[in-house]
Amino acid sequence: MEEAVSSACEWYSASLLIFSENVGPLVYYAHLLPLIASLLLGFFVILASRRALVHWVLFFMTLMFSAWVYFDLILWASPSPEFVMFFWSSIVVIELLIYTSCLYLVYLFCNDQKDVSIWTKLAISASFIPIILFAHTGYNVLGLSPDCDEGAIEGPLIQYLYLIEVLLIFWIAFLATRAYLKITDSLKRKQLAVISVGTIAFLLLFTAGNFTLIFSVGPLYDQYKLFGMPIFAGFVAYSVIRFRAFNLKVFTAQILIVASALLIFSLLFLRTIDNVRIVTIFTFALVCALGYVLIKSVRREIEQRELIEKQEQELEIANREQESLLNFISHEIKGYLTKSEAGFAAIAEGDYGAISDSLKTMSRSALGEVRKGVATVMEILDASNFKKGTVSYAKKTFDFKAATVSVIEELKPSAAERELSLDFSPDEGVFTVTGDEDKLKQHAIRNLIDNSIKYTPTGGQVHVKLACSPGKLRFSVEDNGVGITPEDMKRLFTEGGHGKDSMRVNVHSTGYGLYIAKQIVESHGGKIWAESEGQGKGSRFIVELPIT
Amino acid sequence: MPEQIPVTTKESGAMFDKNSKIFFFIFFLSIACSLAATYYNIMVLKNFRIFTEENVPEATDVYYYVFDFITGRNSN
Repeated sequence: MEEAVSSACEWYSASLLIFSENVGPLVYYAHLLPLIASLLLGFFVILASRRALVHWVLFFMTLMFSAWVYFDLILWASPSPEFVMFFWSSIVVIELLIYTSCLYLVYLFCNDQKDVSIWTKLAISASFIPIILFAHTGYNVLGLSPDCDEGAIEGPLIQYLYLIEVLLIFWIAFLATRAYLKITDSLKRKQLAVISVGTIAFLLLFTAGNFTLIFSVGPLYDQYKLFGMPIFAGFVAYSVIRFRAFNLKVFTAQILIVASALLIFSLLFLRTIDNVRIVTIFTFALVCALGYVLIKSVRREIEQRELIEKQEQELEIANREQESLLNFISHEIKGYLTKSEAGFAAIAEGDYGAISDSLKTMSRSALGEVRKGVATVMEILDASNFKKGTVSYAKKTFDFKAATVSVIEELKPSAAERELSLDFSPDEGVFTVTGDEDKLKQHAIRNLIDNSIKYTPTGGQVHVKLACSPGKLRFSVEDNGVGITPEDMKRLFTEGGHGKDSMRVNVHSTGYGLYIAKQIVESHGGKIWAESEGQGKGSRFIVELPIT
Repeated sequence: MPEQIPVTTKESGAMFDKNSKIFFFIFFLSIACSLAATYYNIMVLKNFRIFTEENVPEATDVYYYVFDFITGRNSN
């Protein structure tokens, strides 16, 4: 065999097995860029999480790809026949490991990232049996070719490998398509789609490169197959950004910066003009500096986003607990107030015997206060029920004008007490509405008129109007009271949406009245809004409801 | 925000079950043995040919070379 070695090609020696003057820059460019992209992808993924199987499979695949690229460079650069023979024979095993790990990766995405069964593993590994048995034999690589550019003469095992590779690509495509049609979660479907398309593109390019060798297109075309890895890395990065396919955080920014820096750095090996080298080095330094700043800012942004997400969750829980507590307290207080109401009413009506005038006055006053308390608690409870969506409506046809008249009659004493003029000017005709009369009366009509009375200073005016237009009625309450500032207008119909000065004018306001009114009007297919020229210039509340 | 998918594969947090661990051990051991055999055959025994212009096989001839498992050498 010494004789064989001495008759090998007269090539220069190679440092680190891969750097030799026999190899052109295009070969290094085609190999080193995908090699670095692959290693970066693999290490970023595994450093992000070492607990996830899907990360380990991707890491293993990129590691095998890197090994393949390194072995291939040895085949290009090494002058040693033994090295060429050994690495040529070994690369077959590595190549099949790349394909099968890609299949495993897609399997995991199809299977909700859970491991596949032992039978599936056995089925996949069956393709290795001929390779394991015959990799060291002449069925794999026969010997060295007299043509130094050709390298080695391959045996039938290589043809088997190419056939298996094609079958594995079909397997992946079939698996991904079947799972895509089956998965209902749209995010998981998108993750699977992007990863599968990236994997198939990567493997197709690799296989296409192999076929250029079979059909003797030329060894140079074979180089382009390695660019499938940067494409695959791009797909993985996209799946991370858009669909959070892997548990990676600043991965995208990091890989973008490192890849850009390496691309610029790699130009140093292609361009030998000194001026270009200086510009390249300067650009490389700039990209590194800017990249560092960018990665730092992205990291900070992600930390802030995670903090906001965490706080949002905590706030949601606190809000739920608070609502539940509010509901409980309101129910309890309502019970006590109702009992007190009944007690004061009985005393005032003389159910416990004749009482003095002063006691009667006190009882009536207390009864009025308790009733206000009940109304307040009921308002809070109603708002809570609206929020929970547990409100039901007893809808029937009724006359809206008559309902308005009855509410105005009820509120006239309050208006008179505050020396306000309260008038009603309806259009002619009947305003028939289908809806929950009690709720509309209580929360829409009464609430709006009552608000105007409360927020209009002594001696003011409250006008209630009812107009009819095709298909709907327009109910409005206009006053010359405190008015609404544009700032208050924004939160007028929200939960607890107090105006800035409303608490000063009406200390008993819960802030839920208009919120409830809006919920009720909208659930009847209507609209409610407010108009005001500003503070101190009065306000107008308008309700539109469909008429029957 | 899209919901984050689970990162662990099993409730226990273990990556593989016992059968899978045995499978991977045997699988990678087989591959290591195959590579070791390749190394021994080529690097130690130097059992390969260097063809010359005169004896280079045709593409179809490649399939008729038979490996002799007893001597560990290629023959035709």
